[in-house]
Amino acid sequence: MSARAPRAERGTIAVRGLRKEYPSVMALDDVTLEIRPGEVIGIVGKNGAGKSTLIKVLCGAVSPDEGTIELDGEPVEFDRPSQALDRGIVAMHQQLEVFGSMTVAENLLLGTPNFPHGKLGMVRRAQLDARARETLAALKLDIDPQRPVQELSIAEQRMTNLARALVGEDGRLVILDEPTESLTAGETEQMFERVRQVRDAGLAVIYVSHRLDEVRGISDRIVAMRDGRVIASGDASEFGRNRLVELIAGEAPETEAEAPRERRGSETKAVLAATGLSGPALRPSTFQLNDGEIVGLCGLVGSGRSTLARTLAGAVKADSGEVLLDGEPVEFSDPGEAIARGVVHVPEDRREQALFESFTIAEDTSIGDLEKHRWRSTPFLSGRAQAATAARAIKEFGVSAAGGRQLTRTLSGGNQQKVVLARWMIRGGRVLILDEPTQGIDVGTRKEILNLVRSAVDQGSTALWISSDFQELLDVSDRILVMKEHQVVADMSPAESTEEELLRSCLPSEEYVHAGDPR
Amino acid sequence: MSSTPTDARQPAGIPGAPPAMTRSRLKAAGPHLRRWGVLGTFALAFLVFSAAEPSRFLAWDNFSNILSSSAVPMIVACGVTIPLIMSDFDLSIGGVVAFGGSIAIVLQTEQNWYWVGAVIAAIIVAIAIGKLHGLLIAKYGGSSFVITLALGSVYSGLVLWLTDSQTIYSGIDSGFLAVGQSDFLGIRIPIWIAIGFAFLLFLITERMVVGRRFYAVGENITAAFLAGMSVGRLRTYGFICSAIAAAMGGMLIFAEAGSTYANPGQPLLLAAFSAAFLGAALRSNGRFSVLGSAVSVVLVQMVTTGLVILNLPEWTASVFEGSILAAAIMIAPSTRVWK
Repeated sequence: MSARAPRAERGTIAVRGLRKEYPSVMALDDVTLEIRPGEVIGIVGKNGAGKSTLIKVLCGAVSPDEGTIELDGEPVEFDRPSQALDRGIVAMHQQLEVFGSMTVAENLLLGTPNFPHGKLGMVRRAQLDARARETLAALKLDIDPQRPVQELSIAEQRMTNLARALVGEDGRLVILDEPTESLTAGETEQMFERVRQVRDAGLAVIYVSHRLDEVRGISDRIVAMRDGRVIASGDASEFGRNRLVELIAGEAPETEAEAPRERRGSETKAVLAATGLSGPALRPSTFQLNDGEIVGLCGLVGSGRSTLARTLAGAVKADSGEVLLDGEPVEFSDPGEAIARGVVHVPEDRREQALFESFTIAEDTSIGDLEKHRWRSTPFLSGRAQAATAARAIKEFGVSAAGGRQLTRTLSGGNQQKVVLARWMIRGGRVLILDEPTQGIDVGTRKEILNLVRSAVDQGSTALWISSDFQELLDVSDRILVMKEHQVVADMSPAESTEEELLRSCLPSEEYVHAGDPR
Repeated sequence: MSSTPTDARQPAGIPGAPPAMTRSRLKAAGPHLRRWGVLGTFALAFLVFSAAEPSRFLAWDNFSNILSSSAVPMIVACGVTIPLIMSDFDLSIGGVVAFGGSIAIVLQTEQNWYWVGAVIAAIIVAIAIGKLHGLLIAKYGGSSFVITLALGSVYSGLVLWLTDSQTIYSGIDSGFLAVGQSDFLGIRIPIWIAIGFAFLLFLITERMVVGRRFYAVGENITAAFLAGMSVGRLRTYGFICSAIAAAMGGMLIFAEAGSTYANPGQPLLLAAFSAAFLGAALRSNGRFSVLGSAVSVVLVQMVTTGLVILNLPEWTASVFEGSILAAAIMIAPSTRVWK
């Protein structure tokens, strides 16, 4: 049943004159856009450019102050997401929203008008599974519809989510927000294949990402946004990488080759040395982080990268092995002890593991080091010290905010990430463990963050930088550790490696898929 | 007000925003609407009572009466606020009020303890109770709602065993009774104790390092753990605070009454929780706070006394208190309360 009738009869989706103002920013300023069926539109722009707000408006989560959405030339108004869903608009948000304990089939069909049920609202399970199987087959996804979604890999979860657009005959637009975040090159290519299939089925696709090469590879048309406005749009072939960077940043990119960095530290002086470190989901690993060094950690999602980070940071207890911190054996029973010894950790999942959403920027940036924000040495907090830290965070980390008293939940995702980074980088430490530190952060700020990490390690620390973006690892690292199947298996030099070599060394067995990167 | 869940999370109350009446602005005003709506309702009630019965409502006696009847609820409400800040419920306070009060009385009447010793013993028992709750809930992962509800019933049962289900009124030390019944500088001693206790908890939660950690735990427990906090210990502190507050409340009501009596904690349980939630509604950020809880207790008490002065039937007080609480929660739902 994979041969579906192309939805050629579907007309254009258009937004006209969209305007949305928040107290501190103009999120959308007169945005007009037409999206044709069977077309992938890539949207690029830096944090706060208005991409997320545009998506929210299209999927009915936010009502615009002005402007209209038109389907086939006829204006519609969405008050809530279910109305957009009823009209065939499916969104896949950056933070994947799935019902983990429910089955693939239930996730696929829930919330669609096609959920099979009987007269009294009873679920028709056989029909549900059959319809799910049919939809999955259309995307050539080999996933059992009865499996709970939480057992799938992130890539599979995302592709399942994408498949929602093909349930029933009403799908017309799929919105993908950073769909390849935390995916490996191979998984990314598989995702691309599915996106193209969805497009060829006659749906329109909006593809939002900071990964410019991916956007150029998959899109038919590209739209660049800045400060809530569309500043350029056109055929994807018209946009070279440099042009895009220029459009996003609002200035010409620095083209000169980066000067090779003078490392202060010596190769041999280990700050942190692990020997045979093992624990739950971590097989014996031996490695060291040297003074003044940024060490990249590369591995597939699920290779144990984050487990290694959490074990070093004291959040997960090691079963055996030894960790030496400045030559002294340490064993942390909780993150508090690790932090006290200068091992700080920026976790991967900002919303679940790092951010305090109802806190102000001042409260959030000081929370990692409250002892230093006291009034003299009393147990009382000093408002002035907190304000000073917030001001530093805003200035040095380029957080766009009205001031230290703004709530972190009102910031865009990238700015929240900057707040979390600022919290730990301002505190400082002997060992910085950064798990996907640049997630959701735009090109310009990415570089600033790298510079801040560099100056931190130059002042006497070491950093472990975990990323799914292998090019980023090659750019930032002095050395790259490779993790495979829950174990550190290699130690590579970025100067002598390519993205492809890194990928090859991470892959568990023969399931190597060619990256097929347009780069 | 139609507001989708996403909209409730949109920017609110950022200083320097230019005034313009758009739809988003109206929504952004949600927390303020709720806050001033609640305060306005109480102000209106105050004006109505003052206009209807100026000689009785605006009298010093009435004012002092409102404060006296606020004292014990204030102590208990401020106590339960601490676990609530950490998203924990302590529903055992009803039982602990009776248990703490009964221990202090029984030690005096049956063991002939000096009253100060009996009071200290009751506080120590409360600390042990708080530690037990912390152990079961924070360490072994029991649900605070169920564990404290269940153990509250255990404490209520122990009270009956302690007192042989009798009302005890003879043999209570006069010093103990004096704490509940006499004045200091023209104000009842329980009021002083309540104000002092509330101020202490205010300092701890709003001005001290440990208080900031309480809020961090309540906001995002995983992030708090990863940021190096001893989450289990902090939550245990919370249960200790609420148990001590409940035991103090129990001792004070028995001292005021001059005897033990059946089920003293039942009305306090509801009063404390509604004050805490009303207090959260009064804050622009929707957070639980000691100050909010303390102020709410007095506001609710003012209305209850006012309704009595107007000779309105007894049921009106409950209806009023319940309605305004529900309304405050509904105007701008602070979803994190139930996280």
